[in-house]
Amino acid sequence: MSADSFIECRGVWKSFHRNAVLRGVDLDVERGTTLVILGQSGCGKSVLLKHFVGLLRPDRGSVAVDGEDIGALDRKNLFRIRMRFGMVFQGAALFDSMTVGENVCLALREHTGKSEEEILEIGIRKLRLVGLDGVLDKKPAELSGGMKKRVGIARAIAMDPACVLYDEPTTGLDPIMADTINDLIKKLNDELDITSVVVTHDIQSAYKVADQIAMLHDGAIIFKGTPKEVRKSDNEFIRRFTRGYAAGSVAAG
Amino acid sequence: MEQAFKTIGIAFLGLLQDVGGTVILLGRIARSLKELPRTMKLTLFQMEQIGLGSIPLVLVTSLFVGAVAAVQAAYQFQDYVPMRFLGTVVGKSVILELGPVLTALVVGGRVSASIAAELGTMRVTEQIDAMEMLAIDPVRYLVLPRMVAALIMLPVLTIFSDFLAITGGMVVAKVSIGVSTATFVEGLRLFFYVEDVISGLLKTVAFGGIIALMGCYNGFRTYGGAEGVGRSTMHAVVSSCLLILITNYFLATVLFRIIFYRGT
Repeated sequence: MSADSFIECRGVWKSFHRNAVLRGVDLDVERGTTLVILGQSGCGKSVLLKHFVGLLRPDRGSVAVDGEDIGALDRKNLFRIRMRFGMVFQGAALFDSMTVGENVCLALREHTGKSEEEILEIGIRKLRLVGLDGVLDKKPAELSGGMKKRVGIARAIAMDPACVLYDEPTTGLDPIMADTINDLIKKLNDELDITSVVVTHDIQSAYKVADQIAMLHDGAIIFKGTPKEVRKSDNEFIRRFTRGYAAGSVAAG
Repeated sequence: MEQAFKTIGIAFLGLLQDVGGTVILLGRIARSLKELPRTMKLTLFQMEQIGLGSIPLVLVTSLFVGAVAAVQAAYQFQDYVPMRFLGTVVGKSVILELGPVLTALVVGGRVSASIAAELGTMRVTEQIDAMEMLAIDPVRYLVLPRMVAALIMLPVLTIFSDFLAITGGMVVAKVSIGVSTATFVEGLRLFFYVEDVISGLLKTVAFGGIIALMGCYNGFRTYGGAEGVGRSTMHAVVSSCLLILITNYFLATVLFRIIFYRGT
């Protein structure tokens, strides 16, 4: 265990209808770094991510944030922990009954005593940070997929969180927009100096944004290292995954 | 045989899970009541959605229910009961049963379906998780305003419905049965007890709670995309209608056989 871990997972097990998705995951997320969790579709990456913030509770094992076991917390204290996080959901998960501005400013209105002018100013600033201008009064239904993702990021960083979790941030986007989102994740990490966890199966995205890459396979972390170490790995599954082979020997492929 | 036991067992466990889940949700609503002042704006919006939005439906339903009550009563009266009692029967049946129960059933269908579909869609598109991530309690933000709005608006809609149904009965009495408005109103005032109005309205408070609770509970437990939203919506409508009818019997027993019983 690293002394500077922001999130620590120890022996996390999770099953759905007798299907064990996570089988004893041990993982540390170091403070101030970007960790990318790689894995095949449906391998439990998003399930693991939701354990970091108590959206899902492990059947066995523990998750600690900043040394505090979140499994032991009541709702009020869990909310206190979640205030330190921002989360970008796979489908953006914008509140479709609200405007973009209301989405981004909701947490500020709920949790801060700031004036309406201050809140709007912060909202506009966060939207500019993700490259959006003049969309404050639009409804999510009027936005493209890439714009929705960016509004989702602006909402996630509205409260200046210590850690941002990204669930498949580039899935469903064209390559140019996917790269724009990758640049944005890097920019936010550099400018805001936050801890980030990115869940993806997009290997190019992983190489671009990661300080560390963890590979989730068969319900466990089978590898953790830098992007360079991933490239050099001689693990059969990792080589297949990074090079996109369905089965068999990489050399033969 | 084994399969039959398995099916019954699964259905029974599902029922237990639903009862437990509903009780837990009720507990969470009760705990979030202290936050009601913070959600007044949302509650007023829901009152508009549930109350004003249901007026056209209640208007048509009530007018025709009152009209058919007058026609049916007149048919059963012929040669046996004087028509001056037409207003009494229409008024009693509307105020005690038809107004509260039919308003609850039609509003329940509309409102519980709408709540379950909206919250169900929010669940499957991770909007409820997103709310949790913003440290906002979805029960306080989504359920409490709907519950309070339904508890307030159902009695209001029932008063509206009672008035319209009696008007519908009165119009039909005059136009097609030949009972004058004065006679109808005279009959209406005969045996009119305020307790009847109060008991009818008390029932609708419970019905309002059932409608919001079933809509919210089924919406919150939605899984499985569009199919899941459809399933939750159906469960919300069916469960709220059934619970309204079952609760109606028990409330009627308590109100008319115990609390407001005039017998000796």
